[in-house]
Amino acid sequence: MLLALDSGNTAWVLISAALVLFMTPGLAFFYGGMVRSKNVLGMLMQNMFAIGLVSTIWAVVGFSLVFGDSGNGWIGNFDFLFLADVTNLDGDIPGMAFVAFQMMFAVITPALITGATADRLKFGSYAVLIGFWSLLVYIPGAKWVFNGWLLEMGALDFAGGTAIHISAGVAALAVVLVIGNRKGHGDVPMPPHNLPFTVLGTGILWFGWFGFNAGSGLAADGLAAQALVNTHLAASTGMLGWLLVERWKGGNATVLGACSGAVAGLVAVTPCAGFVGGASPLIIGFSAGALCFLALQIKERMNWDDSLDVIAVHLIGGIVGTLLLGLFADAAVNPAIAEDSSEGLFFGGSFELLKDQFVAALVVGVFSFVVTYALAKTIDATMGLRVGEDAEYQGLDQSQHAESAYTG
Amino acid sequence: MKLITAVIKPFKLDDVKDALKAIDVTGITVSEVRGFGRQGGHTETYRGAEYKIDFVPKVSLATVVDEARVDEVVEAIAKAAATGKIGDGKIFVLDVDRATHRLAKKAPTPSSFSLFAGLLDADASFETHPSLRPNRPR
Repeated sequence: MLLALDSGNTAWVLISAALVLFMTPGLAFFYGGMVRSKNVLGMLMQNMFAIGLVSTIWAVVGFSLVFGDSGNGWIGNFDFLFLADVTNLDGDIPGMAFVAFQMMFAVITPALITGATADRLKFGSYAVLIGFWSLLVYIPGAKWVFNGWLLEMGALDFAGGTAIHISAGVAALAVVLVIGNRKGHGDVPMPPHNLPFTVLGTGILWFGWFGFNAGSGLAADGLAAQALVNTHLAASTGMLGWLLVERWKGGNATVLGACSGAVAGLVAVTPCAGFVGGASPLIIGFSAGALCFLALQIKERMNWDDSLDVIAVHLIGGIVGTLLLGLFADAAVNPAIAEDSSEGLFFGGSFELLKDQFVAALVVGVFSFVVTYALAKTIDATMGLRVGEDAEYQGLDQSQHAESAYTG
Repeated sequence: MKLITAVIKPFKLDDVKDALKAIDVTGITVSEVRGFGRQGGHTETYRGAEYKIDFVPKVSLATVVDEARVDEVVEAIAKAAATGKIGDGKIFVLDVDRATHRLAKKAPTPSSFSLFAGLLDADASFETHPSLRPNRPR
């Protein structure tokens, strides 16, 4: 039976959809500032293009495959193909508002990968990669986590710690393993060309994340306010955690560190936003900032050219948030925890939730790695995933787009 | 005619310019350059990764003067650019065989040739580009 529409909830979800859309250009500038000047347009383009391509896929088939009521927990159906009949969705917001909100999540997730593969993906192959990645990795993962068997098992993910950040973070690693390191990686300095862009992008991401997390309850209510405050606090302590460890390790308190720490805190609070309260977001953010800084070591040890640290920030940040939720989930904040799942270890629960969180992180991570690796290998073998040496030296801006960012 | 080129610390440029103006040098040409010498570079850190930046930013300035005044000009630059620390820079003096002045319709004087030449007598061995000579055949 259809509920009466609530105008307040509808307004908030529509605004949240716009906020989440804005995160993708924000991510473009966050990453764009960190690459060399000859690749900045390539980076901005990869992110902007994700809006165009993934939105189209989402309308045609994506939404239906996640939210079509197939009766099983693994994949949706084709009821909502081309967004037909979405007015029949349950809830007190229009089905189309939910479509729009979820669409923006689908858009930004593959865009997260571009940070790891910076400066060396062929544009056409990138388009094929993220198109198929959305269909084969994001859509099943989103179904399981938001509307399927992982949710029913009891795993909690408020706004996408597993289906978005862990999934994209693992995919980033898989693609890096297929395409290899940038030419000169480790020998030639490749410092960020425009950190002010990165600061700008961080601000946009932070702002948009309020919609991402506080919109995920699909209501303009107390839980949305709690999620918004949690989001902000975790970003704040994420920044502090990163900077303190950076200083403690003998470095300066860097601008890039402040931005990276804030984003790490935002990533970690994503699964937790509507399930925790009190001091928990402060601890979650701080832990993420500190641990993500330490996780920068992973790529050094393994010699993976995860160029802009998608593994350290999104994968590790996502894991930190997903697992900490197993400790901090608080039924006093969100009664649904007691009804549908179990409480966190520190809030009257057992190890049950922590175990479920671990299973969800592992399943989504392994699934994303296997499918992404196979997909990247296939594209590499057929159309070639990486630009030629000349094109890489010339830079993506000129070699892929016949443009230059800075002229005159 | 001598070309004097000085590579100096960027923040000393205004001091050097004022010192040269004070001795009636009428023009200099300035470029921003990078290089390395004994001063060495610096390190920058991005997400824990250290980058060694070898090239230090410097300013290169050039002026052309009459031979008689070379010592005076070199001394003015050296004095104004000095900090006493490593990396103050270098001054080079080179012969100039020929200079063509494309913009003036007559042989240049120090005041009219201000873009590049610093201190030249009016009868210095400048020539004017043929296209600018008055009364050239049409």
